[in-house]
Amino acid sequence: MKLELEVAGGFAAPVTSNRYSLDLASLPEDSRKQVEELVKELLAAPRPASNPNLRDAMSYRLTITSDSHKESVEADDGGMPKPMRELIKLIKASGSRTKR
Amino acid sequence: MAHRCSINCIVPPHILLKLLESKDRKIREIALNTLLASTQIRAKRDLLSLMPNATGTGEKRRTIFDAKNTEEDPPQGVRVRGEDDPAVGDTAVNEAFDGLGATYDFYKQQFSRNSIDGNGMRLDAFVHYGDGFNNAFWNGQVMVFGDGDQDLFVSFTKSLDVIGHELTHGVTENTAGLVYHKQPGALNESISDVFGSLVKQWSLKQDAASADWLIGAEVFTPGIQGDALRSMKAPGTAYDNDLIGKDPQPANMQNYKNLPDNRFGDNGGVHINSGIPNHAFYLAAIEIGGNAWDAAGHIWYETLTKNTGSTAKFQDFADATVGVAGRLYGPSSSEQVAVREAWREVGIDVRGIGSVRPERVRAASPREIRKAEADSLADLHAKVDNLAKTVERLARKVA
Repeated sequence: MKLELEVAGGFAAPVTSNRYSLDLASLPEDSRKQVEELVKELLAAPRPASNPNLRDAMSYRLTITSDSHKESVEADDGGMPKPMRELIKLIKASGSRTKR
Repeated sequence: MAHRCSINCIVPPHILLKLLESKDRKIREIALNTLLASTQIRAKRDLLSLMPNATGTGEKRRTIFDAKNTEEDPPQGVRVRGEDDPAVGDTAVNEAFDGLGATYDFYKQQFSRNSIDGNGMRLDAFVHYGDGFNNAFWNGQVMVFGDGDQDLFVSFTKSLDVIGHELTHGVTENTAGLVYHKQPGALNESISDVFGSLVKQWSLKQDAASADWLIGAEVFTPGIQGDALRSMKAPGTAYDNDLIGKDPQPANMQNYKNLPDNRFGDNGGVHINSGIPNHAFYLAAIEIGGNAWDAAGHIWYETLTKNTGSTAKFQDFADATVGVAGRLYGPSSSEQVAVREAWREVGIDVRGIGSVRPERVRAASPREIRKAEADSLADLHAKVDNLAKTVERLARKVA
């Protein structure tokens, strides 16, 4: 399974706009299981609603790719499901970053 | 502002109840959501009427909450400083409190504007939002500030212009209501930068010539090579290094960036193309001389609050500023000439006497109207979601 994260927008939009990716194969067994659980939880949860009154919020697109499946979840600051927040933290800490 | 009306206003409850019996799952869902939304909105209205502090106070009223590194929606936190409270031992709290105060005082003293809505709306801000959160934002009701990750950014409360910027989003929402897409969105961002910078200049008693015209000069960590996040004096030069890239803001229409109008294209580059009107304001203020918040600030404020429609493009806004300058300072006055010339320098020609009438603003296209309606519906859903969470939290507390 591979996770890709795209971050855009925000007060410091061009500076904070980045792409991250994390291949779960690179993780130790424990961490991999933890990520898989979070992914399962995220995909089972209702999709986050967007708030059109947000100004300067950052937007996040998390794409999960497995052998048979590819799915994306999008959310903004102030409206992110907890498992997505946890996954983003993990990807930023353990994944690789490229500038958008 | 335009009146917003969704399905909740026009579909009677008995029809919605009937729709709940539909065989179509989608219709049942919509009916249920609509009924819930209507009920929750009525409940919210009732609750608000019982809570005087939740409505406008008619005077400066700041409240700072500590989100304690959570990222709830809507933001949750502990109240740490109110209007009559002394400074506390938390720098971010005091910076937010003082920044809101400076911004409120600036609008009140310079433009006789009583808070965000002109009617004493209370100013609520959350600090310590999220964990190493690299942002500050306005959610339509409150301002939210992150502490920064301490690698790239420090706390976003460090820059007064950032606080002024966020609060000004509320002013724009309550006046021109500029939509957050493409040119109107870039104007929205630019207005926030202009008044954010003016709050700082006014606070520091700096005239246009001595101001730095930087936005977010204090939010980078010392390890980051860069002057600020944006430069109104020289868009595109605020930073340039391997780690964070190069400031992409254009200063002229020739370099306008056509980006996708979606979340991942910065809604058509609202934080990028804002460099163009930002630079026009800077040029006008420098040419007029003295304090930028005087003539130039008044021309922009008058244009924003009385002469700009929600879908105004750069040309519309430029036309209106020239018209307002003529009305406030006289046709062919040095102020009007300076404003016209400033726009010309960034690639926007204003012919004739400009425009001071909202009627000049282009009417929205059917596509824009559909989008605005969809936004209104999404807006309502978001508000109901927030309310539902609040009710749930309160219910838990009561239990």
